Amino acid sequence: MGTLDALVAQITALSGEADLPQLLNQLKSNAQDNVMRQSAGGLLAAVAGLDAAAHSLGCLHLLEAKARTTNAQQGDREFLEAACRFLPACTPHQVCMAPEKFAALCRAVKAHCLALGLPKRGVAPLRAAVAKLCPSPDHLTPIHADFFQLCLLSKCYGAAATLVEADIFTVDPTLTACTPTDVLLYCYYGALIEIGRRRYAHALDLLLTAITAPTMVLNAITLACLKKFMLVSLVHAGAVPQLPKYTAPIVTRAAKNECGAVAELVKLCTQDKSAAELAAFAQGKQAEFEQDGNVGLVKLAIEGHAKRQIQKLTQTYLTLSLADLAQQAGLSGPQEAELAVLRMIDAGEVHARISERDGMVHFLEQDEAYHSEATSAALDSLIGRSIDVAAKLAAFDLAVSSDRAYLTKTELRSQRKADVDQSGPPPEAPGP
Amino acid sequence: MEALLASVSKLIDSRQYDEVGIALDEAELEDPSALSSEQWPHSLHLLAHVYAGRLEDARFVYKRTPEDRRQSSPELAAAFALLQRLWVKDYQHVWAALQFAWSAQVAPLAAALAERLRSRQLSLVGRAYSTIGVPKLAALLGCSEAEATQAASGEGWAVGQDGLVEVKPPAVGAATSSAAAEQALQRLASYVVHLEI
Repeated sequence: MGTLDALVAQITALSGEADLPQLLNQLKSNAQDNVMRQSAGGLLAAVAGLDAAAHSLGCLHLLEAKARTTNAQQGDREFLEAACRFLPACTPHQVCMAPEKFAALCRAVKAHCLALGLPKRGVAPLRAAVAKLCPSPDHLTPIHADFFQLCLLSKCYGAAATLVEADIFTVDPTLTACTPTDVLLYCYYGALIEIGRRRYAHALDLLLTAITAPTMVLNAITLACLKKFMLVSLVHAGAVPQLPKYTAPIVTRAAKNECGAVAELVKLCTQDKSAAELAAFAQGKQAEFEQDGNVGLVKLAIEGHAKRQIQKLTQTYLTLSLADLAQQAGLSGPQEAELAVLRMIDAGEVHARISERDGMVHFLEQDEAYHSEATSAALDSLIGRSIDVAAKLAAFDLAVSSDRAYLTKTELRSQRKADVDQSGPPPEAPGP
Repeated sequence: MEALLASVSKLIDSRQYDEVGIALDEAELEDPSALSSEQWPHSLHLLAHVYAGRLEDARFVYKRTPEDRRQSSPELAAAFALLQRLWVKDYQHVWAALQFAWSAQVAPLAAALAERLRSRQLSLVGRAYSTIGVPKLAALLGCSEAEATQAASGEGWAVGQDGLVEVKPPAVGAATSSAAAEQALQRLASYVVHLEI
């Protein structure tokens, strides 16, 4: 049993490169844990005396012990400030030796930010923390979810931009202390951020990842993702696609039975109801939508409905007068129809040319000249990315095929099958 | 905060308006209570994001600004009104919203924004209309009819007798040069190799 000062002295002494594993063992031991817990009051002073960059491992353990003793419901301003100063300054190599402690510290930072009502305070430190823990930009860490949550609450969606756009390929619990909940929360909060930035296609990708995650039981995160998935599909494409075949059966059933008002809205949209009827339905279910936080998405879905009507007209007509268009799409007059078509052309949702001379709209085939430089550059970058993903997939396939657990299971299965074959029906007697 | 805002002023002076929004975002994260301070250039922050085409980020700047700052700055209210017009793509009323007595800090950005909007509208008209009347063109471009006719002739569109402009679709890009063609061949070869494996 030593004192806090002795511990601090040990940290300063053992922070050289070669001594770090020994320091880690010391810090993990129960004796030192007791020391840290008992001198909770002096921990922050001890941390202030150490150098965050040189003694990262020691500071991490001291701060994490402090986090365990503070009251996360009330929030501790001093602890928060100390942690926020530590996170951008720590050395990645040292903190990666104790990923679970680092993730726990970041979670504590998030909890205190929320308790004190200062979500913006934690945004920059957590962003720096993600970079420290990630071995490479395509690894997932538990800090991603906490960071996105703070960005959402402080409305700093732009700060999350680079992280949410990065493709995540690897989830490695040994390196980053990730749990399945972290993956689901990353997908859900990431999707919320993309919805706020109006990047619906990427939001749908993230939500689909969460929905198709293998699972035996339904959880609240997946259910929330399902509802948002249906609403964002309505906004983006006007219809909800079939869930892929590899979705867990319990999730497919939940999509039909548990989604309540959202599922009904989807059905009404496919039945070609007018915007007024949809709005009336949404008004009736206001309370349920408010509870799920989906009111804004429902409104967007209903607005998108009128646009779909115009898009459907492009498939039927080659030329249409503005007055007819207004009548078919349920708009109030030719001027409004002209503005609506202009907006859709601007957004690239329809290809048409308006002629003011005769008040007609000519719908065009998508006659893009695919032999332009821009198209071939876009095609090249897409092919390059597919080649990269194919290489990653091949490496992943190799890793799984040579994984011990997988080989044992397949061995057992093929052995059992061979036994059944051997003791099965005798071979056919040769015919006459 | 002065140091952070000084770097932003330098960006404005060198006309790198695209970077102003991001610089202000980073400065705000350094000092979380920045938006509540009176010295913070709220309307500049909002318009910088609008200039870079990030309407969502501009909207969130407004949402993050506390209520008292919003009430006390008519310039911020004008900037938000402009954002609202751009958000719903109300092309004609955007110009009325741009006509505001912007402060000295914001004025160059507002002028640059007007330029950018005008050229974007012109290319939109090029894509969307086969014939358009001069008054409507002037309303979309936010300028007088004479200036609109000038802009139309600048794009190579003929102005007819009846006051209608014949809009020609934008020409397709020229064919690639030989060096680019060689590189393309190289890339194709590597794709075929990859597919064979």
